Parts: sequence; C-alpha cells; structure tokens
Amino acid sequence: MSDKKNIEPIIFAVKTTAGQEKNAAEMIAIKARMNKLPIASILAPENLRGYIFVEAPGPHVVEEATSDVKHVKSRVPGRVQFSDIEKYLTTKPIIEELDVGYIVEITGGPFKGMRARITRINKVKQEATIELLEAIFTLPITVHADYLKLIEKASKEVKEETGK
Amino acid sequence: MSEKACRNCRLIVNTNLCPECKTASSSEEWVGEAIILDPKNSLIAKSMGITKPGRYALRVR
Repeated sequence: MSDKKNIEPIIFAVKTTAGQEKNAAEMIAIKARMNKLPIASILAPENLRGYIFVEAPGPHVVEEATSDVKHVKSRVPGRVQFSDIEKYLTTKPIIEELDVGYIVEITGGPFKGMRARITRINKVKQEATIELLEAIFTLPITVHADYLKLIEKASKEVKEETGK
Repeated sequence: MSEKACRNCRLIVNTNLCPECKTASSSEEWVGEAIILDPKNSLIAKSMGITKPGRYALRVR
C-alpha cells in the first residue's frame, strides 16, 4: 500500500471586513506559515468586496487559519467551485467591457473619482474618449481604458442618440 | 516605498528590479492579490501559471 497521500485542494470563501481583504489575506498567510498549515493559496480579487478565497485540503484548516485573525468575520459554509472564481483570475482587457454611451468612473489621474460618459472607443489603442458628467461645459478627454471602471451600461435611447 | 508589481511575472515587490524575472518593469498600479503558499497543490497557481510561492497581483496596469 502506498503512503503517498493525494490531497485535493478545496476552495473556501471567507467573509472579511469590506476594504480589508488584502490585509486579511496577508495575516492568514502569515498564520499559515507560522503554524505550518497546509494552505495552498489565498485569493483577494479586486472587485469582490468583503470576501476572500482560501484553498486548503479541508474546512478545519481554514477555521484554524482564520480564527482570531483581525478583519476576518467567518467562513462561508460549503465549498466554492473553481469555475466560479476563474473569472477573477483571467485578465480580460477592460476595453472589451466598454461601449459608447456607457457611464464610467475614472480610477486614476487628475480626474480620479469623477463620472463620465463614453463618446468614442478605440479598441486598437485601448483608449476611450469620455465626457465628464460633472463638468459645466463639454470637455472631451481621451484616456486609457485601464483607468476606467464600468458603472452603468447605456440604455437603448442613449445608444440611439449617440449613434445618430 | 509603496509596493509594486512586476509587469512580466506579476510578483509583488518593494524594489524596481524584480528578483524573480530580473526585469525592471514594475508598476505601482496593480489590483487584486493572490498569495501562493504551495504552488504544487494549488489550482489557482496552476491557472495563473505560477510555479514559485509568493504574493502576486491579479492585474497590473
């Protein structure tokens, strides 16, 4: 009989304080290293507030690693399928999600935090021309798609207006 | 000094030069984090193509 154990990792979701996902993940990793717990990986996706994923052989390992850790609330019962978290790992270009008329938020540069409407898209250069919603007069700005975050998709009426 | 992520291998570093792939292409603008402790037994590490333990960014701008 072989002594070799084939431990298949299972993914568990852990609830954390919103905005503290990275800190919680780092503290769990430190605890896992110190106590030599068999945790394979910890994932803190950008667009999932209040949750992280821990890959471990069983729920008891996750419980041990997350107990008494700051910013960790509880373990979500049950396991998470890998197909459910795969979307957080694949880096799809942001420009693919955007289209003319969509409302976006600017995430970097001097206009950070402002909302704008897309008026033109250049998929080759990965650039979008936007008009700030908060500006008093229309000011078209061309920015890289990486600095935009989709807020709202355009309704049919807006699409028709911009299409004319 | 704020943490940076290597544009090539996505490893989160404190210096401009990546100690893993030896390239000087690091960026302060990165989002998402994956901490890989055991790459051999990790589905996430395999999916991301990571073979060494460490902290990795999910998206580097």
